[in-house]
Amino acid sequence: MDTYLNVIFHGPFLFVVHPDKVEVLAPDIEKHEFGIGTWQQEMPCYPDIYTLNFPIPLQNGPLQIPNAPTYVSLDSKKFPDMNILETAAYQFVLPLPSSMMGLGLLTLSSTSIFTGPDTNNVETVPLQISSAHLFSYKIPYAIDTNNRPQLKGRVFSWEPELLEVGSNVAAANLHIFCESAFDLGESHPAHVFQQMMNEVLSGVSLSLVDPFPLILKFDPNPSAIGLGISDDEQGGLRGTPANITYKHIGSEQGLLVPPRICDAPSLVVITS
Amino acid sequence: MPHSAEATGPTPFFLNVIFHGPFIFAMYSNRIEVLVPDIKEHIVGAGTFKSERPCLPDIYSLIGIKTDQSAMVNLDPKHFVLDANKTKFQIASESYYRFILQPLPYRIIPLGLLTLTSLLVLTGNDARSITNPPVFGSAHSFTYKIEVNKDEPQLENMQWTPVVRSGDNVNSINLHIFAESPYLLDLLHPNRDFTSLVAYLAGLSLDAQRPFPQVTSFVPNPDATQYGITKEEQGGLRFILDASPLVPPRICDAPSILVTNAT
Repeated sequence: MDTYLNVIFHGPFLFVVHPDKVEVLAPDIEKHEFGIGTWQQEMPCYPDIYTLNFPIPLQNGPLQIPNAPTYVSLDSKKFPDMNILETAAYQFVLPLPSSMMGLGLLTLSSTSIFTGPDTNNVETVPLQISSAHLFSYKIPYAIDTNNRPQLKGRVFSWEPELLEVGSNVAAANLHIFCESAFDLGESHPAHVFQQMMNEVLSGVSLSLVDPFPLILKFDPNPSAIGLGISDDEQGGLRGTPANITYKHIGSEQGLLVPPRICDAPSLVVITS
Repeated sequence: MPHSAEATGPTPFFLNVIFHGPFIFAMYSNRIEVLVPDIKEHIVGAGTFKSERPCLPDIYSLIGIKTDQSAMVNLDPKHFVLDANKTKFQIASESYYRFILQPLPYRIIPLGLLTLTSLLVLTGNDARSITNPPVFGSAHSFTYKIEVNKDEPQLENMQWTPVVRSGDNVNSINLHIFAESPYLLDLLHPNRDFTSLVAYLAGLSLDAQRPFPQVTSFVPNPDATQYGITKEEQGGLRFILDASPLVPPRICDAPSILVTNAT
């Protein structure tokens, strides 16, 4: 049986992939609710540095970036002035995972989502962008009480609860939310993205188009099931978008549902 | 006794104002005032389901209801009810959030029905003055009969565009008001919620069992369908329908209190 620890980030984050670790950074965004934990049992959390530790170190090699990623990535070499600010309110330090994957895939009405002088330096802007991001750790040993991985902050800790998913996979899924439960308006993604650039990543001149393109479709990433992640777990705080169309007086439109309400894209920065 | 929406004539049309979380519903002769305390872990929002907007502390009034609601249908027994004529206490004249529903609705429907491990939920000298149902609503719909081209419901002080949903033999506009946590909180959270609520009823000696009994089942109220309320809309912020020990509505399942004969 394959055993996985899956760390799933919901909402806009900066993921910095170093040769030996991954740093995940987020500003403290007003009206976003931060929470960490097992699916649907997450606890509220507060600005801090959270570290994922494996008592028996994993020997994962350099992270392989897929040929057609579903996340927006920047190559740090193209941004000589790039500065990743160590003062981010929320910081997560993870060992290198065995795989990385975009979840909760959004098809937008336009792929032109950035403005600013550095727009052309963005490495990839996928046709579908991820609303959640997975860092998956394949664990090559049996987990017991002495060697449980742990996410730890100053006053917070989480230990995995392994669930058997099907006959061949056991998984513990750690969800980390930075999202709003409510609709914060059309300009919210642009504001959040700007805040992230101001407070977490300087030296990159990049903004989001405002209003952000409409989301036409939400698809779970089918590859996640093999790692023990259900489709529901790819949704936002309020779940996956319902397949309902409401009639506004005089018009018709789909639901403005999560992740629409905080769908500023995350950025993946690859450092060498 | 099952509800019975109008079965003949034009498709029935309802406005459902649905409150999720713990509230005091003070029922006056011509209106209902809904009192919401300041609870740190709760977030408050209002609007169409899953398009709600955050609410700031303020007074929000339902306006634009012109259709005659007739006499309100008798209260469902699945509520905690406190009769102001029978017990001495004072309803606070101010609250952190206040929602005013005028006129009185056609009926009040308990939603998201909870069964607990203990039948006894309340303690204190005044506990016996409140009905303590074995099954009670974690959400409450204040349901109005409305008509096309006559009623124009709005929540004053809030930007909300009513959305009409057509279902099986019923049309509805559903306005959801949440005062809940999206995350799991500690076991004494319902008690703190309830204490904050009771503080709006000065003079009452009332508390909730500590820790609050566990939820053993969560069942959508099937009667709500005929008023245009879906099962999902009866859940909490995370709309979880399966009973499980520590999920919404468990995370903020302090009961609401309906105060009748408020003056």
